[in-house]
Amino acid sequence: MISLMEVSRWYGMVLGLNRVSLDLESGVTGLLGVNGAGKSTLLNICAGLLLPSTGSVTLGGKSIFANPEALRLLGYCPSVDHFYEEMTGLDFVAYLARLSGYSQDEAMERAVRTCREVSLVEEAHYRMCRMSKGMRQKVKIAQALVHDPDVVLLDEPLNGMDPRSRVQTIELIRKLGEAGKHILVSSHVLHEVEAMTSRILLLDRGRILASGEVLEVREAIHSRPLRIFLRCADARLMGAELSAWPCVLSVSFSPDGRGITLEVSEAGRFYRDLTALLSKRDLGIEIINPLDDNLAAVFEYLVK
Amino acid sequence: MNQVALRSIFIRTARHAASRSGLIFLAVFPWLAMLIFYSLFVKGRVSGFAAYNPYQFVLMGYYLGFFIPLSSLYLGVSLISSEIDSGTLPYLFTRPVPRPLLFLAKFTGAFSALAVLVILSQAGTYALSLRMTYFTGQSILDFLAAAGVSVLGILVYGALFALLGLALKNPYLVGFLIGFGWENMAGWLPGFFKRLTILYHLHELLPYPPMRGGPQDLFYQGEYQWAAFAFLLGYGVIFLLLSCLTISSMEVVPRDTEA
Repeated sequence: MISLMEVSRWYGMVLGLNRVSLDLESGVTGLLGVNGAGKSTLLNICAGLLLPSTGSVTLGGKSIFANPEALRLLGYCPSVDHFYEEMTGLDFVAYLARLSGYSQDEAMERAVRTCREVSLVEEAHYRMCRMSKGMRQKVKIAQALVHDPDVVLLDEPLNGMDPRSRVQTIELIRKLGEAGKHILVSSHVLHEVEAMTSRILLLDRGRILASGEVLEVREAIHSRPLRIFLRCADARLMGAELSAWPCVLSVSFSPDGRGITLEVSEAGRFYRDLTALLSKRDLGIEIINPLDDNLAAVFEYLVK
Repeated sequence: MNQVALRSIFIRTARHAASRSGLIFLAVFPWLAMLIFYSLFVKGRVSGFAAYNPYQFVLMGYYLGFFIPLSSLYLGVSLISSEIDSGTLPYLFTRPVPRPLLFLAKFTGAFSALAVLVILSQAGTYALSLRMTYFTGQSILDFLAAAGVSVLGILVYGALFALLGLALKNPYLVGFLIGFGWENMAGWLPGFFKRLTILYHLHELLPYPPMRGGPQDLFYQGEYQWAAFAFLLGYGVIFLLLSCLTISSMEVVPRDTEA
């Protein structure tokens, strides 16, 4: 749906984005990066608010900047906390629905429905200036969804939300992804991204460092072997068996003698061989726990 | 589809403009002045103004020389910049509304509200001036013609200041210098320069004779009214076209975001 081709963006002498190319697939994609990595620049370019210095951005095959035909397919939730403060949340969402072309009644009907989807019911009738940060976040998300767009860009959507609202919003984003929407969501909080999706786009200093499923990305980091912890009845025997495998690079024992930590070069091959071994012999394995195939590890290895 | 969106933008902008207390004060102020003027007239202390119609005096001095340029400057500059300052422009720019139409809907909304405010204010001032029957030139047709000139002034000044608001970083300062510096100063200059002002053409369109001996006398050089109208129309169209071009290529960075 949304496609970037060799997009770069300068701010004076500062390079905000550096030759970024991507095709946003359906489902949820987590956009990760430290502050200044270029996440918001990327989202603003995708939203048609900024022009790329070089390269092109299209949505549904059409250039997106100031193009109503492309913008019809887009929902954008900015990270900044600004509204028409004198309006109620419901009126704000309904107003923006009318700007998407819906009649007065239809816009209000959609606004009510969307506010309910983001868990704003009574609170939707509060004036924006009286709303808590979490409620305001929900209003921002509601206005991005009210016209049922195919592509949704969410810039830090969980900021300021209480834990319950976070869970509800994560669930909503997951459902939208499962419904086939193309969703790009940026966040600083890795475990929240992990709860929404396993597909990531990792930015660092304006460049895409990695993209794809977290496990695929993790396996592609050859400089850091995957670490796996095993707990079993006879760790020495197990260690001796596994150390002979070519994909196992190192074996270390835990102080109690019942656990071993392996460094593995090819996770897929290791798990296949281990399954085959366990089908032949009972080694009394209690726990198999990959230690660094999660998003936090990927982020740490690639960015820090 | 655009009609619903544009109507919504128009109504919201018009309501917002009409509720500005500063503009309401400026609209009511000449009524107070007129009442004072009337009390002086009753006491016989304004005989020196006997040659002038008090409504014409207020129209030229206050409405065309002050209220309309000042309020147009405020509304025109803030038309888009207020959305930028309040951080709400990204919501508008990510909706499927052509940007030039979005701008024009806001423009007509704000300046329709101002036009209504000015005409109501002028109607009150005109009605008060009728109490002073000592003066001549009180035809209702003249009032309507003067109201039309005021509306034209609002649109042209509005277009100019809206363009400044879109194109400049310090639009208020530049707008003030143009509205209250250049506009008045150029009227004193000989030759073609005065035709590069809005005020000169507005004065030419007024149904009242020039006030001889006053500063307005300097503006008076006997231009055809159709020429004055054509100049104003041309200025307005040029300013609006440039504004539409500017907003079409305008970038927005939501504030407080990383680079």
